[in-house]
Order: sequence, then C-alpha cells, then structure tokens
Amino acid sequence: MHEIVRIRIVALGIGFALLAACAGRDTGIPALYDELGGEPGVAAIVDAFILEIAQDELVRPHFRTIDIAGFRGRLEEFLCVVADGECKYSGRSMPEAHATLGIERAAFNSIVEDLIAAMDSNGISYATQNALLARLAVMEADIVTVR
Amino acid sequence: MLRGLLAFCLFVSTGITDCLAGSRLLATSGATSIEGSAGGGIIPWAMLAGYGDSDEWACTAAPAYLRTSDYALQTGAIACSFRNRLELSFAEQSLDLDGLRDVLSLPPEQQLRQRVIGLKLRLAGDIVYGKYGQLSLGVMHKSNYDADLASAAGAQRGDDMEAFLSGGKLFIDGPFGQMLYLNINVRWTRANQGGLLGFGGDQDDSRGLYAEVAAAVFPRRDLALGVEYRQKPDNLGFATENDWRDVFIAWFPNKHVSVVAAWVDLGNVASLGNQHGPYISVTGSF
Repeated sequence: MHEIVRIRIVALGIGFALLAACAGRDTGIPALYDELGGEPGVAAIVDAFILEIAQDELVRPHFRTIDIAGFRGRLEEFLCVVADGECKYSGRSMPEAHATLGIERAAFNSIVEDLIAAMDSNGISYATQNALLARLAVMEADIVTVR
Repeated sequence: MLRGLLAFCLFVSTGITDCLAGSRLLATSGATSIEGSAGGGIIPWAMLAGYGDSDEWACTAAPAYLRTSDYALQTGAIACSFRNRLELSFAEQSLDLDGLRDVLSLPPEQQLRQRVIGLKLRLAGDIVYGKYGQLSLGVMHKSNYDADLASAAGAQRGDDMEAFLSGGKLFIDGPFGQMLYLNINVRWTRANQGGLLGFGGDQDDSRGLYAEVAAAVFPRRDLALGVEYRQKPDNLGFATENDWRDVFIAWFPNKHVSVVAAWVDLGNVASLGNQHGPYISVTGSF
C-alpha cells in the first residue's frame, strides 16, 4: 500500500473519532426535564404513551399482567430521573423489571416508536426527543432479553 | 437482463404500499448502494438491507441512475437480509459510453456492464443500540460482461472478488440535537472504476486497502443530508483514476420507500476528466 494512502486512511480515522466524540457530548442546558414540560409535561407524555401502547400489537401482550396505574407512576418518576429532574424512582431496576418479560428487539423498537408518537402529540421538539431517546437507547441491553 | 431487473425494481419500489415492513426504526435500513448492498449511494454501509430485525427477513429493490457529462450509469439491485444477520445482494450495472464512443471509435451499442453478487455479514453490534455501532464484513463477486474492452484498456481480468469491513453508528443525540450517522469502510480491492473497467492493471495488479467514509445528519427523522468519499485504486496506465465523492439528500417517507438524490463526482473516468452529475435512486423495502 502506498504511504500516502496509509496517511489518508489514518487522517480520515482521526477525523471520524473527533466527530464521534463531538456527537457524544452532553450539553444539558436547560435541563431536559424542563424541556419535556416538567411534571405536567412528563405526565401528559406518559398518558399519551400508554394510549399508544394500548394500540400496539407488538407491545400490548407484554402489558397483559401489568398494573397500569402503578406503571404510570413509576414511569413518570423514571423519566424524571432520566431527564435530570429532582425525583426519586421507587421502582425496580431496568434489568430486574424486564427479566421475565421475554421482550424481543421488534417490541423494543415498536415501543420506541410509541414514545416518539407520544412526544410528537405533545409538541416536544425533535432535538428534545433525541436527547431523551439517546438516554433511553443505552438501556436496550437491559430490556431486550430475547436475541 | 438489466432492463428486466430495472423494470422489476421500478415495479417493486413504486408498487409496494401495504406489505409487511420490518420492525427496525425508520431510516435504519439505509438506502441501496450502486453495488446492490445496503448503503448510501457510491459506497455500502454497515447496516443490512431492509427493516427486518432478529426474527424477520426483509428485501429491497432499487433502480438508480447517474448522469455525467460523458457517461450514464444505470443500476438495478435486489438485496435480502435474514434475521438482521446476513445480507445477500445482486446488482446489474450498465455504463453508457456516450463521450468515449467518439474518442475511441467504438461501435454505437458498446457499453461497459457488470454483475455484482454480494454477501454482507453483521459481525457485531447494532447501528442504533450498539455502544460502538455495528461492524459488518462484506464480500463481492464481480463479473464484467465487457471484459474485452476492459482488457484493451489494460485490465488483467474480467472477474474478481473483493472484501470490505464496514463500521457504522447512528448517534441519536448528535450535534444540535440532530441524529448523526457515521460510517467507515476499509475495502480490499483492485477494481478499476468499481469493476466496470475490469480488475487489476498494467501498472498494478495487486489488491490494496482503500478507505470509504460517509457522514449524514438528520434535520428531521425522515430526512438525511450527507457526504460520501471513496478511495480507489489507480491501476491502468492509459488513464488516471480518481476517488469518488458525493453529496446526497435521502428521504424516508415511510418504511416501504426511500428516495436518494445526489450530486456525484467521479473525477477522471477512462481519460475523460471532470465527470460529475446528478444521481437518483429509489429503494423499495418489503
């Protein structure tokens, strides 16, 4: 391989690493929780989200045995904590809560789409949606147990 | 063959509206590269074709057209992926030689055509959920139908294998809150103009490693703006070969269809310089 080609490959690699590092940064101002509308905003998103789930053929079966009122409360707390709000999450950890549910990737992707729809219907901006989705996406490994 | 494939691709990519779509998130299927594999336009990307996830299969069909001042490239491609693990692809390419015909006094029907059969294996990770994105390994077998013309230009063979490693990741919360997709490939090849001018040459007949990169931002969830760059060998003595590059816009109105429009710069192609022009591709997914 020509030396110049090797240098260009290395240069491209460094450029990409810098771009990637930049892409992963966290600005966090103003607090994500405020951008989601604080307590009433998150409550409205959670309500819309539950309505989306109720119409989702892939996800609904996993909720058959779930106490919806309890789920609503825990999810509001959870999203508050994830979005840097001042709340305390009283539920189980993500791996614990999903260990026996047998959730496959297709259902996980579908519930991501439900959450996007719920945020859309509450007028949450695309950038704010992405900030929340990025924090939730890393939990995929804890939630999807069927590979 | 190409005409039939193009007709089929056009039929599939415009006719499918209410079939089953896979469960992967919008746009994570990518589009279809000119070599058939899921990708951008001029290079393959790490994701596998279609929207199928771990328990699903999915297929795509895509016609594409590129027009430069002296050439026109038509491609038709079909790709299927299984359980988001293995992708099989098939593409037919046909290059019209409008400008070169007069220079070399070629017969009017002379074209440069090739078939590309590809395999792409997802080795690890996931475009969206993988901490380090997704890593895929691809191999392509290319057969040039017009090897006589290619060998007259100095190519050493009309059939060849090549391989590439492709890494890609979608950053959900990229700059300015937009999604950002980055992809880098390393390809082991000796193809001349992707294989349309055969493989290996009078100047160099050994395969080398070449980098290919793509970057795209999503100002909306269904819209990507990006650039691609493809390093290429320069094996033939009769004409310099340049790297390829493009800028593109991709629209994903739903999981059944995507449209890519690009401006592609091929540089010098078979002694005719400054070959750049518009590219359009429509991918149907089912």
